[in-house]
Amino acid sequence: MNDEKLGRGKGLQEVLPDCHHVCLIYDNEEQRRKTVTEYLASGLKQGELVRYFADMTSPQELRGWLLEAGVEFSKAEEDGAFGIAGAESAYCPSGRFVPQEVIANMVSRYDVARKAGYRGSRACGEMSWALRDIPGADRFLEYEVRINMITETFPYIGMCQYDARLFDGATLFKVLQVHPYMIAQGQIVRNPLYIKPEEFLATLERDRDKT
Amino acid sequence: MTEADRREEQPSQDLQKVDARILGQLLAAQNVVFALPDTLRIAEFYSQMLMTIPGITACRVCLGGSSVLAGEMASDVCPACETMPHLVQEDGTLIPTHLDFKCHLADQPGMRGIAVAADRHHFGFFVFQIDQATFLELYHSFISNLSSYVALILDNRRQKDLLQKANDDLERKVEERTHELKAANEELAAYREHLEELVRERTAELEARTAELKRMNDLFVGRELRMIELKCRIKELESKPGRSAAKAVDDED
Repeated sequence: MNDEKLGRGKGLQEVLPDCHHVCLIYDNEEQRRKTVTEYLASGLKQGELVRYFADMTSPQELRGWLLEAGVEFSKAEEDGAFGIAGAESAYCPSGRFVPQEVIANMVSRYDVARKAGYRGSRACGEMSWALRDIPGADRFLEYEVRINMITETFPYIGMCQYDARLFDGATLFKVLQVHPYMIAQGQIVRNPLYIKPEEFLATLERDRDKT
Repeated sequence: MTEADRREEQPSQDLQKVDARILGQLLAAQNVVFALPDTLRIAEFYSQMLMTIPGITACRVCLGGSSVLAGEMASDVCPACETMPHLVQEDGTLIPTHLDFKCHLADQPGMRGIAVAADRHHFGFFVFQIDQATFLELYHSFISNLSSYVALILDNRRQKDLLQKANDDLERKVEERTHELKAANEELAAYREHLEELVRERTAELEARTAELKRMNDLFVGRELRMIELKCRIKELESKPGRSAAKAVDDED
């Protein structure tokens, strides 16, 4: 990871390393729209397989954002390079959230992408589904932390969106502890609140034991 | 080395003991506060975050009307807190900083408190249960900076809310006045229309009366002229010899 790339006043891709797991904590739609549009556009521009997992945003709305920003995506969508899917069906295909399964799907998507000639695989997901009463949804932090444990073999490129109006403050703090990078108020920061995955998993287990 | 030199050197020696990672966390936390929409979420977030600072075993963050505890505290004075209910008064104003405003939890043994206060208002407290005071002392000034920053953000939000409220009031007043003006205009337009109708009616009446007068006038003037003409004829006939005027007139007819 190239820390020197981090800086203010630059585009997202200029300041994020090639492989990254970043979280966007937001409390207004205008700010999210700008960041998400830029993030997807940079993936398409770089020839990556780009997937958006929508929960609160409709596909039409998302396409509208890209169109308004002048992002050419229709051909990529036709070719399958860009796709929008429902977050709940993507994260919980069997109606249950199993972190290992979702990660395995991501890795296989990356392999398929590479074989098809894409530079990489990029995902951008809305995480509000985790607040619904879906079996296993309470394991979303475990999923987030396990992504960081396979980055040696799997170059993850992804942005997880958390609406601060929906998640409580304590959860948002934990979300920050499992993302090496964060975007807050449009600023990209190498996240000092991030802790080692093993350390976080141990905390999770301690919390589970308490409850 | 003099005592003064030693005092000057003390902060730099302390800084060497400070963990850069913790300082980074405190700085990152400043960025996050912008994205947290209310005092409850800020309290939840900071109570967790402050727990990562060495020496802190439990933390209570009271902000606005929200009070959040992370960890377990030995002291139990909070249920009787007289300060919290006043943090946000009924009219939405906050307690001015010149008033004595205390957290009794922070006064308990083994506890420390840092006020979250801006220039003019109290917003609350960060209260810590500590096991190693020396650790907390190292970070105290940085946490104070953070609390000032949170207070500044909350003060800005408060000012923004007040501004928004004033703006909304102004817009409401403008709307009311516009409505009143519209009603007055409509009344005026209706009155004007009525007045025009009245003028039209009166004009028509006057024109009819004038026409009647003219017709009468023409009639009377015509008769008068005819009378004058007849009188002249009578005189003329009477002046002729052997014919009486009456006979002459009869003959004429």
